[in-house]
Amino acid sequence: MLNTHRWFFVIGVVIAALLMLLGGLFRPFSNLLQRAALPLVRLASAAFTPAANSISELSSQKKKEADLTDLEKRISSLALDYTKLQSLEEENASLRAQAKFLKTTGYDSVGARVISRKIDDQHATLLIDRGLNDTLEIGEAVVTDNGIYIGKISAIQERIATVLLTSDPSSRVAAAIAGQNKLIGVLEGRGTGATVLTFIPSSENLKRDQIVVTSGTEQKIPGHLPIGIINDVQGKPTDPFLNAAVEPLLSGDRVLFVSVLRPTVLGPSL
Amino acid sequence: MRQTILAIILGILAGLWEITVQPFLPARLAICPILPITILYLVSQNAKNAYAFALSGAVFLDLFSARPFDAALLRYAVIIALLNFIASRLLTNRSLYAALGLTIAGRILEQASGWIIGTLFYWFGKSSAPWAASAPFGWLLLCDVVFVSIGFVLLARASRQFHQSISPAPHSWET
Repeated sequence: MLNTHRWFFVIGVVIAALLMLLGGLFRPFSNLLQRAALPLVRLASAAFTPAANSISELSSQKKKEADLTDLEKRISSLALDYTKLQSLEEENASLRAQAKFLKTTGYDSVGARVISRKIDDQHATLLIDRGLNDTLEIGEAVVTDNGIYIGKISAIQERIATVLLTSDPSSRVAAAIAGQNKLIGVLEGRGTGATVLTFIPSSENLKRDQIVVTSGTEQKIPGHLPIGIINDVQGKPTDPFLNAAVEPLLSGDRVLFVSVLRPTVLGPSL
Repeated sequence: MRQTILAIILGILAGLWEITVQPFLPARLAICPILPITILYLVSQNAKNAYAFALSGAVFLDLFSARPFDAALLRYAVIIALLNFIASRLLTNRSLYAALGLTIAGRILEQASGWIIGTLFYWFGKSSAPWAASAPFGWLLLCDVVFVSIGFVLLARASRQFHQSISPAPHSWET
């Protein structure tokens, strides 16, 4: 009888704790703990994560070799095709525009370290060591040090934030083709590193190897940030919309440092 | 007391491993040490140290995990209570087989509770994505079994606490 009472008590405590978690009652306490433990996590991340990443890269050597063969084929095809050289010229113009955008479009960047990640067929997220205290906001674009767009902030706490990578199944970003200043479709994540450009009007003449960039039509995400390359265009000319498989320029799961693009007006006042 | 402090320090290190190292390793190296070491604590020491180890690691999972929120601290508290119940009522002989039985039960409970709480939080809009295991369940279980087997053998060698002391019964002609 006593044991039954004890189990009922334990189940009651568990349900009460769950309800308090759902209500966010532990949030102040967890913020305090995060503040205390973040230096330790940063230290561990700096010490061990690069080594773990190297092991992971070594194990995917075979895939890299296959990728390399495919890339070599692409390079030779690009060298032969003059029209594709023209698209490279457009890409160059886009990259030039991107190099200037930090000064010209009203964004500054906040550097952050990746302290954890969750990458599988259902998730593609990174955890970074910057948060509300660094005046970051949900929806802000996250790029690598060379300006490639990898995702946006999806959840934020005082000192940490979650980055939703473009390949996450719940990720959506408005996209354009480099050199064309118009929205062309929505880039959707498909998990396991895959992305698809959807809702492309069938009148658009898309080709393999064209560069996909951010369209700039979303709040907090500037335009002309390179995302990926078109691998394959799917759909019939009679379909209202086409789809295109897009290969990200950079796999988010290898990234250790990122920059969050923050509108300058949100920066700390000096 | 010293053992408990050691358990807390080891728990923090295990939590740091699961946050900063394990997610960057290939899926085949699904070494999630909190649960297997908790089992070893339960088998070789007591529930108090197992709690100290697991909860100090689970705090880090709750605070810094990139996966959808899954109430790791609460889940581990319940899992250890259930495993302690199993260890004290069913698998009482402190053998390698008992440790492996606890490991399999523990991992099933951990994955099932993660799925239930993850789904609950997803429904309530507290999590942006449904819960998913950090690695395929089979690999996770295989890594756990290997980890616990090696750990158990090393502990048995180092501490001799699992050695049976068999003294031959005196025969009637010896008395």
